[in-house]
Amino acid sequence: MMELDAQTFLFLILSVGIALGFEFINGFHDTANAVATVIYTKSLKPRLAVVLSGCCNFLGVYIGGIAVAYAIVHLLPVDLLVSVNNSSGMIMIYALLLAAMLWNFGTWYLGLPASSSHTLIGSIIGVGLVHALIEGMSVSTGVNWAKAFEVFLSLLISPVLGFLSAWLLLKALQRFAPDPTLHKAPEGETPPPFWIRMLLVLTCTGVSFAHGSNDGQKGVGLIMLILIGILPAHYALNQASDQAEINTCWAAAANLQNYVNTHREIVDQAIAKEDLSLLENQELEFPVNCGVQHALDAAANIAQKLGGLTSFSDLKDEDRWSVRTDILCLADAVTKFLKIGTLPTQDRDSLTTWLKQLRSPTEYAPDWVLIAVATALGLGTMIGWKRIVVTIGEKIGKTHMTYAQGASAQAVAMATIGLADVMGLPVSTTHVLSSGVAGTMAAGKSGLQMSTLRSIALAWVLTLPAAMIIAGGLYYLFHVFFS
Amino acid sequence: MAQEALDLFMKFLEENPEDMAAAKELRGREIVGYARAKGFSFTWDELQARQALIHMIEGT
Repeated sequence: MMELDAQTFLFLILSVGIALGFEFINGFHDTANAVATVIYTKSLKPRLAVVLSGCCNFLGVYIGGIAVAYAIVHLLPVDLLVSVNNSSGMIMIYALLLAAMLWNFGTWYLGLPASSSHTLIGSIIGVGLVHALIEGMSVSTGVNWAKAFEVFLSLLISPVLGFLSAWLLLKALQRFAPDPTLHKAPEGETPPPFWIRMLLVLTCTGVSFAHGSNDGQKGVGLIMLILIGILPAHYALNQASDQAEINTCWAAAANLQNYVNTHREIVDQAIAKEDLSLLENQELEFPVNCGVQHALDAAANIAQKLGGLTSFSDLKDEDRWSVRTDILCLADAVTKFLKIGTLPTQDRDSLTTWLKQLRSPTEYAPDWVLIAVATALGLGTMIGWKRIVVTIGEKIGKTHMTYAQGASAQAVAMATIGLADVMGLPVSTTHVLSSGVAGTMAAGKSGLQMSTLRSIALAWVLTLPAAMIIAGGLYYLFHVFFS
Repeated sequence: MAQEALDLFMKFLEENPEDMAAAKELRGREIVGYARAKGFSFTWDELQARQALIHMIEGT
């Protein structure tokens, strides 16, 4: 059992509280996405719908995996990830979390379109860039741009996929399920026929689950960074790993050590592509710089420390931290090898497998973190319904949706977000669902929803830069006052 | 007749700017009471559901 002094304990509570606050706000920000259709169509009573949605969000976080969590974490440069236990690392995490929370809450309060994913990703990029500027580094090293590009692509493609798939699905329903009941808007007090009701409840459940699995993981990744920063001895490596898992990691490091030894030309090509100015700067605040030339040492250190080990708790505190640092540095080098265009396919496959095995003890989340995030997101979803503010205006009198449109948009959102989870990519639940609705409206010849397109565009031109500026500004202030 | 009543209430407000201005000043459940006094019957949940639908469609 860990023993914590009062100051560390309070710091820990505050930090985890901020991260859970972000998830809670995310939950009530996105309530409408999850339950609007079933309540509007009278498929479920509001109370039952929000409780069901909250529970599905909870389950989504708990059993949805952690691939997306670490996709978010890896937006940060590896030099921060190996230095998260110093003051600069920690204030960076606080700055991005506070910025994301403020922007999410502010846009909800003002009724502005926003996406939690764009907010979080903008915040990460903001602190990364300001950190690079403060340290006199090139801005290209402040953010893991390769990962950022992958994430941007996912955020950009997913609404398009949602729009087209929902359009196709509704067209298919019109052709193969022409039952007029399915293609009309709710009328009167009675709920829809049983099968339509079940379809709507099922797709609502799926959207809530998918929301939990994708959005919840973003908070999980950040809480893990906080825990590793405040309690490095305990959370640097997954102490629940059994001997087989430790052996797998050890074998991956040994294989990589052998690979680096026998493929100097690959290492040289990766070194040639590195930003040497960063590696040569000895006055950086972050004490560790991962360079490809250190890959061999890192692999050897891991192999030496993990050889014959049965539990990570048998390692000294400082050794757990150094193994984590070596794993992240070696993983970063392997990622750079994988970017070499001429890398043979067989090498690429082996490196990808070893990379996954190597990272395994550092990419985890304890059950209590999953449960805490799941609870915050679930409660946020339940409370969010109570906080929906009605704004009387002409839109209310003109907005309707047929059962088929609701079910199609929700089914597509559920599948798109589920696919993103499997691929370990963050997406905007709000954008995927609203573009799905827009696709069904276009297919139903109700016209293209220009307001949806405007909302999506605003997330790119407003939320992304705003979150970057707020997070970067906060990081600079924290740096001046606390670093 | 809830959603239809809501449509009729909004049509009434559009045709009566003074009532529209008055309704815009009201909060939450007060709107439901105001509508009922004018002869339109819908619940607070139904009004919220319509607002939530707008949020969902517009991505806000």
